[in-house]
Amino acid sequence: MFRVSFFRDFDKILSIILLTILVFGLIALFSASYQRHIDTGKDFVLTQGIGILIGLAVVYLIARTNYHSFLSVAYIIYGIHIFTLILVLVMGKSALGAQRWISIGGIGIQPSEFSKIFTILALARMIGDNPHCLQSKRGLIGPFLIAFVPMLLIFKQPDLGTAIVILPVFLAMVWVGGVRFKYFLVAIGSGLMCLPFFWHFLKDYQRDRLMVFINPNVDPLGAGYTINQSKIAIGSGMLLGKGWLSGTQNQLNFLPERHTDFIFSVVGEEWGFVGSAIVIGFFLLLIIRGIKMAEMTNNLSGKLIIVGITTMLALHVIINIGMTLGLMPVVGIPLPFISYGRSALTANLIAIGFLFNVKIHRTVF
Amino acid sequence: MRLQILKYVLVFLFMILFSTIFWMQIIKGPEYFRQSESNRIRLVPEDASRGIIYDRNNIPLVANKLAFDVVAVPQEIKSENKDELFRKLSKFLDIKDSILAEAFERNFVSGFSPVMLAENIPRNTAFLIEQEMSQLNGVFVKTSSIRNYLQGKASAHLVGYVGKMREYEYPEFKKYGYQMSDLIGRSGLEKEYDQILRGKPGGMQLEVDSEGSIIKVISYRPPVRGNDLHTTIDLNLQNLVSDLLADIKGAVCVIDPETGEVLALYSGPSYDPNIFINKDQYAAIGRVFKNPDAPLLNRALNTYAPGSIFKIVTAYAGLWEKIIDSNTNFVCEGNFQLGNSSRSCWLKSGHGNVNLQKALETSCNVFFWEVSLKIGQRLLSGHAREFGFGKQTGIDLPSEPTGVVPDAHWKNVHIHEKWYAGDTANFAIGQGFLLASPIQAVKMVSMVANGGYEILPHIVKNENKTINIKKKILSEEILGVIRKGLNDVVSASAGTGRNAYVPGVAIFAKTGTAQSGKGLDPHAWFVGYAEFKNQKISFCVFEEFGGHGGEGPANIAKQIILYFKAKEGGK
Repeated sequence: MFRVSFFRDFDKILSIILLTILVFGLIALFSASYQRHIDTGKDFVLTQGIGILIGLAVVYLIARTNYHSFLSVAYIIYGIHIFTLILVLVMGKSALGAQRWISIGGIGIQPSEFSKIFTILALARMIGDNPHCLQSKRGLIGPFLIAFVPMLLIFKQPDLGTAIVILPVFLAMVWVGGVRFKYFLVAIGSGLMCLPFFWHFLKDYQRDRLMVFINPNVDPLGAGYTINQSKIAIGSGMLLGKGWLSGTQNQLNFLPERHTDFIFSVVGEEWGFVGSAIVIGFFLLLIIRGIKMAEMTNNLSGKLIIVGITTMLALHVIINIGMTLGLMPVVGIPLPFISYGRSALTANLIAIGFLFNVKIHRTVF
Repeated sequence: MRLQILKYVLVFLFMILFSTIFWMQIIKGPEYFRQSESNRIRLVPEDASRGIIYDRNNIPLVANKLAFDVVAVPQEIKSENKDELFRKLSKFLDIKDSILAEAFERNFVSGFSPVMLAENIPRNTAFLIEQEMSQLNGVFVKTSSIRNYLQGKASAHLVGYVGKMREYEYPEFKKYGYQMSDLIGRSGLEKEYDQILRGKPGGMQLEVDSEGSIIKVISYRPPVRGNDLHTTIDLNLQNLVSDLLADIKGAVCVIDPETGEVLALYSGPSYDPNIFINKDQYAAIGRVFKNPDAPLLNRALNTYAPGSIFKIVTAYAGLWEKIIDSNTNFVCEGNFQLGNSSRSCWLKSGHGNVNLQKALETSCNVFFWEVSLKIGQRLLSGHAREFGFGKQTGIDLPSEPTGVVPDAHWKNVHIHEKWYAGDTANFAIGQGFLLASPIQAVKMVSMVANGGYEILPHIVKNENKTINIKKKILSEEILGVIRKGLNDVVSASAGTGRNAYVPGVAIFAKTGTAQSGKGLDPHAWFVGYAEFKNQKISFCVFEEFGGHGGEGPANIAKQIILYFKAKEGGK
């Protein structure tokens, strides 16, 4: 046993990147929720700020505890979480046509946000314990089930966005875990073949969203409205933006969901290309730093935790921003650390906590 | 290695994000910016009223009046109440509720811009609706300014009327700052002076939110009323002329031969321009369009064979070219031999031995045929153009035709025949291919009256003197000879225009009875001028298929002269 030096191995670069993004997020949220704050009196920035502070405390707690302890209970947590997902399906609260929420002690939480982390941990444990499982068809059944059971349950809720994220996270983890190239291609191929099958299970509103994604003008005042207004907002920001609190699309309420899923539209409109590029740039730094930290980790489980989480965060960013730019269908994934919302914020901070954790405890066996 | 590939895949995906925002914000940014501006900025236009058109004594010919329109503001109507609302409204307006609902759908622009439901409703209905406002949430009575053609039929062809712009006209009008919804002058002065009469529409620029609720007024520009027109028309004379000609097909023009000011201009039959303004006049409009007498046609500008009034020109040409002088005599035996064919003077018994003065007085054809043979087509055409035939007079009314002064080339092009001596003979007495309008005829006779100066007939008073610089075209000496003949037309015993005789007034005139085609009555012309104490007036009275110029037209001319005599005293 080597002595763990928490502060020496605490990743300062990652923390600077994270804090910068969090600050950007609060500034953007202030503007995005400005009118709603006036109308409802609800202070979104304060709520989010408290959420961040609590989340950072959680980051600290997670970072302190050796991730191997988490790995040792990964299967149990995973099992409980599968049970919760089934519970949500049976008795969940419906929000916006989807049953994603359950109420625990009066606080509404979205288990699917945490589901991704538990799945990553379980996968990291399984592959880390037996790397050879990736070399045979039979060995792959285990990891495959770990990924696909929650994916299907979340898909049934239905939370298309989260379900969509799990698949590439699984692929990234088995890829880095050393899966045979042939199997990897088969996995991607079978994933593509499943697409029509997925379409069959989609709810009408989800199909509408996908159709609108293909052509937002089919229904410019209905399902396409959000995408069109978001594109107008971002595009109209031009080089330098209309200025903080001065985005007309934002402040005059042309952008729905702008403090949650569409907060990047506010960034684009008010901060322009320069501001948007800086925000995306910090996310890219975060991802590159994540990959770097994975390189620095020798332990396969630890490496896979970082790979899974980094890929997950990257996909959150790409899907969310892609959605506001009209590159992706509207699937309801918030922008990490910036969008308003407790569940996603906490879940993403927990995920970041594991990045710190693996770095700190990387030399410990 | 595998980690590096994962990194490049993720970096690549981020690069897509970077390039997309670059494309949207830098390349397409201005376009999206415009879209965001049109999202938030709404224009609520306010129409300007048109300028008023006055006669020479500042009596309005055209003014504006208040019209009441029923409009609905969509955001103040709950959709579940809409049907009920239209049902109630339909009782007041006597319009089917389905038609109101249709108008609502068709005219809808946005939540807060008023939607036109019914235009120009009766004043009493407007007041009733105002009283019942509490029952009719979201419905308002809006006032606007519309045209009121005070003189109705009497000045229809002068002032014209306004109408909605048609879609195909918009691209042309857009260049001059018009909007699709603008009313534009459709004929008469309304058309000719549209740019002056139309005001500058004003309006409000509003900032709205996504609901269409008004956040603030960005700017307000009040509409500017159009400029007034002061015309040279004498309304009393115009009304007199209108009463005299009434529904007879024809035209009357009265102008000041010195200045070209138009004192009266009437074309019969006329129409009431108000039918194009007031609603539900479709039947009346239909009647006007279907009327075989074509009331919309302005006959004062339309061209016809001028007949014997053109003998003034032939006389001038003969004198100028020294083919005749005031003593030259020709014998009229009632017919005239030209090559193999023989043609007869209108007086079969013949006029005997006539000189120019007598020939004009009696309108002897043979005399002018004799002249025509010696003068030839080329010179005659040239003199006709000197008097302003074959080109626009330039009067400030739209679509003035040029008429036709024929020549050998013209005939070759249009009739594909060569010019014969018989054509020249016809030409000399205002028949054949020659076409002239009443306004050209009055210009011709004005030049005789004013000593040979070219004039520009105009309806709107011209402060700009430069166009009134007169160009002397004709010889005063020659005109003096012709005037004697023209005076005899009215005052001599055998004069063809004796019906216009007014004792104590010097009147110079010429009758015309122009063949208009086989089996049709001839066109009747009476042109001339009269001298009063302080002023001269020249006139042209024309009746399409009206018979003899010395009858109906001369009688109308007499009334016109009497009007001025009463006003001015004789000379």
